[in-house]
Amino acid sequence: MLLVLFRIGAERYGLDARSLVEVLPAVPLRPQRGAPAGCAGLLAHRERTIPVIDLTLMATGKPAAQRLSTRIVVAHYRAGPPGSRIGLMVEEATDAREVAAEALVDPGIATPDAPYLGKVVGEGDQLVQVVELERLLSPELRKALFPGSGP
Amino acid sequence: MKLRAKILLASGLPLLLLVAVVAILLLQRLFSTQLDLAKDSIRAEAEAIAQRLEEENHRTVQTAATMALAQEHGLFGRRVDSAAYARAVLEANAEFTGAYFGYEPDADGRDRSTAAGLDGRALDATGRFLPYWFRDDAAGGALALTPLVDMDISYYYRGLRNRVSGEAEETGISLENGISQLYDGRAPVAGSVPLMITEPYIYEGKLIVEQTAPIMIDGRFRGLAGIDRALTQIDDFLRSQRQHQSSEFLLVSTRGRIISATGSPELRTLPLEGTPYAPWLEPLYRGEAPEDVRQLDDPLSGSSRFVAAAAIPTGSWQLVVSVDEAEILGPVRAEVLKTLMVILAGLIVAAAIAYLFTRALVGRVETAAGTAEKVAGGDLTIRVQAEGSDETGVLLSSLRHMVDSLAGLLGRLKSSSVQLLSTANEITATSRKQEQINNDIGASTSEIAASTSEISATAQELLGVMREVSASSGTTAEVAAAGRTDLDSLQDTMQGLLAATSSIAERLEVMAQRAESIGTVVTTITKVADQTNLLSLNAAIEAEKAGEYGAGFAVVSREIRRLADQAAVATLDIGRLVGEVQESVSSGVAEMSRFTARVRDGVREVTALSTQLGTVIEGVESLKPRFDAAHRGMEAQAAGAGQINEAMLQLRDIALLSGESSQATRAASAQLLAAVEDLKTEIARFRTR
Repeated sequence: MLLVLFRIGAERYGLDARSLVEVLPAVPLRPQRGAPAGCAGLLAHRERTIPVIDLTLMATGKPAAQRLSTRIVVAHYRAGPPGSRIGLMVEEATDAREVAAEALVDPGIATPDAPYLGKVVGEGDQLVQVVELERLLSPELRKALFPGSGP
Repeated sequence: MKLRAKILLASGLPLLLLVAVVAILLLQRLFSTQLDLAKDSIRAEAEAIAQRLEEENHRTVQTAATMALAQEHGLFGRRVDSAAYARAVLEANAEFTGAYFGYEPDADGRDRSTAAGLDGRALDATGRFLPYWFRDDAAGGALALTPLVDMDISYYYRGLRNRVSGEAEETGISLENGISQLYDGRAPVAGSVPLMITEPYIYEGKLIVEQTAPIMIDGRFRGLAGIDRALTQIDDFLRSQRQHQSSEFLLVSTRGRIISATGSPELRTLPLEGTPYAPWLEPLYRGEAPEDVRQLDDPLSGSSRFVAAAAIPTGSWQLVVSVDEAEILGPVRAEVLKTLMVILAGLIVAAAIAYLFTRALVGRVETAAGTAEKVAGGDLTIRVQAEGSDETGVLLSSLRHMVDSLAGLLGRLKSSSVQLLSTANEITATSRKQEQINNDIGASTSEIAASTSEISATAQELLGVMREVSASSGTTAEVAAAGRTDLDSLQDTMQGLLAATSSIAERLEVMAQRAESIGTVVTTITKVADQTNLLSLNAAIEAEKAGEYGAGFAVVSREIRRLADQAAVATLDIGRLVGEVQESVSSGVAEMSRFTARVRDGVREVTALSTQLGTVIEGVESLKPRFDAAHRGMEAQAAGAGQINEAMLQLRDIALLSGESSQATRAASAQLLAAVEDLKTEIARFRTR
C-alpha cells in the first residue's frame, strides 16, 4: 500500500493513498467562526465545500506552520454521509512511500486521547504511524462537521 | 645682562661717575671755602675786639703816663693842684672808675706842713700825699676822695717801684688767688718807660684793673700817677662786640690770670692753670699756640667750639674767642646740602630722561625679541604693535608683516591638510570597502558557479529521466491517458522552468545587480519545485488508485518528486547565495557605479525576464504536463548553466583585478595619509589666530 507521508512535530505519519482524493497546496481557507477546535476552516474543492481539520493543531495544540510544504490533503470521509470528504492540513506532505501491508504492526500502546493513531511501520531510520481517518474525529466533532452522519 | 641695563650703564655710568667726582670736588671745595670764611670771621672778631681793648688800654695807660709827665714837669709838690688835676681827669673820662697820684713818703718835703686849701682826704695819717678820686657807687656815682691804701703790697705801687728800682716785681706783693706760675716777668707795656698794668682785683666791690706810671724826678722814683678801670664793664663790652650768637670770650692778664670769662664769670681773677680752660690757654699764654683758628672741645660743656686768639700788646693780654661749632658748621652744612640737593635733582632728572628714552627704545627691541622667540616656538597668535619711524619701528613692522604672512600661510596649509586628510581617509575607506565588496563578489560568484554546475548536472539527469518517461508512457498509454493531464501539466511546468532557468542563466550576470528581482525568481522557482512535488504526489496517488496499471508511473512520479526536491534544495542554495550577493550589492551599490551601465542592461533584461517568468508561471499553473518541452528546456538549462559558470568566472577575475587595484589605491592613500599626518604634525607646531 502507498502511504502519503507527513509530519506532526518531529514524528512522521502516513495516510493510506487509496482513501485520498488529492493533495492541494495550503490555499487560503475561509475561517468558520464558532467552529469547534481543530477545524481550520472551509475549503472550496471541485464545486463542493469541505471542512478542513488542522492535524497539527489537533495533536499538539499549535497550528500548522505556514510553509510551502504545509498542504491540504483531501480525503474520502467514510464515517460521514456517503460521498463526504474532509480536508486535512498537515506539515511536510511532500512524499509518499510504498509499504507492504504485512510490514504494518500494532504499536501495542493504547492511545485513548488519540484514537486515530494506527499501526506503525519502519521507514528508514524512523517509524511511520498510520492515521486512521475513520477514527479521526470525535463523535462531537463529527456531528458538528457532518450533521447528516450517523451516531 | 639685559639690553636696557647695558644701555643705561653705558650711557649713565660715565655721566654718573663724572657728576659724582665733580660733585665731591665741588662740595669739598665749597665746604672748605665756607669753613675758611667762617674761620676768618671768627679771627676777624677776635682781632677787632682785641684792637678795641688795645685802644682802651692804650688810652688809659697814656692818660696815666700823661699825668706822670705833668708831675715831672712842674706839678710835683703842688698838692692842691695835683688833687684837682686828678679829679678833672676822672671827670673828663667817664669810663674810668678812679684817678690818683701817690707820693713816696715826704717826697716833696711837705708831709708835715699844713698847706691851706688841701683836702685832708688826700693824705694819710703821716701827711703823705695820696689823693685817690673814685666814683662812689654808694653815693650815686659822685666823685669821692680818699687816701690810697696797700701801697707796699700792691702791684700798682710796690710793683711799679720794684720795677723802676730794678728789683723783682713781685717783691712784697700780696694778691688774692696769686698769679700764674707760668708768668715769666714780661712787661705789661713795652717801652723805655716802665708802665704798670696791675692784675685785676676786687676793690670797693668792683673787679678793677689799675694802670700806673712812675713820677721820675732827677732819676729818682718820687711817686706815681694811676687810673682805675672796672672789669665788669669789660665783660659788657666784650658781649656787645661779639659777631656770633654763641661767641664766648676769655681774657688773660699779663700774669696769667683770668680777666674776663663771659661763659663762666666765677673764673675771674683765677690763675689760668687752675681753670678748666688751662688746655686752651696754656699754649696761648706761652706763645706756642698756632695762629690759625682751631676746633677744640669746650672743657666745661663738652661741646665742640671754634677757637681764635688775639693778643693785646698794651697789658700783654690775651683774648680768646670761641664760637659753637653748630653755628659755624650749620650754615656751611646747609649750603653744602643745598648744593647737593641741586646736583641730586639734576641727576634724577637726567636719569629719568635716560630711563624713559631707554625704555622706549629697549621696549620695542624687547617686543621684537619676544615676538621672534614666540614665532620660533610656533606661536603665531601674537599681535605686534609697531609704531615709530626709526629703525626699531621698521623692525617691528617687518616682524608684524612676517608674523601675519606666516600665520596666513599656516592657516592655508592647515585647511589644505585637513582637506587632504579627509580626502585620503575617504579614499582609504572607499578602497577598503571596494576591496571587501570585490572579495564578496568573488566568493559569491564562485559559489554560484558551483551551484550552476549542480543544476546543470541535475538537468542532465532529468533529461535522462524524461527519455525514460517517454519510453514508459509509450508502454502505458492507457494509464498515461489517465494521467496525461497531470503529466502535460508537469511537462509544461518543466519547460517553463527550463525556459525560466535559461533566462535566469542568461541574465544571472546582471541578476547580481538586481538581487530583489532574483529573489522573486528564486521564490518562483521554489514554488515551481513545490508544484512539481505536489503534482508528482498526486500522480502517485492516482497511480496507486490505478493499481497495477499505475505501478510504472508511480516509480516515475517518485523520481520526479526526488528530482524536484533536489532542484528545490539547489534553488534554496541559490536563494541564500543571492541573498549574500544582494547584501554585498546593496552595501556596494554606490561604489559599483562604474558597473552601472552593465547593470542597467541587466536590469532591463531581468525585468523582461521577470515579466516573462510571470507569464511562464501563469503558464505553469494552467498548463498541462509537457515533457517534450522539458526535454529541450533541460538541454538549454545545461548550456545556460555553463554560460553562468563562465560569466561567474569572468566576474570573479574582474573582482580580483578590481581588488588588486583597490589594494594599490589603499596603499597609495595610506601613504598620502601618512604624508598628510606629517604635514599636520609640522603645522601643529604653530598656533595661529
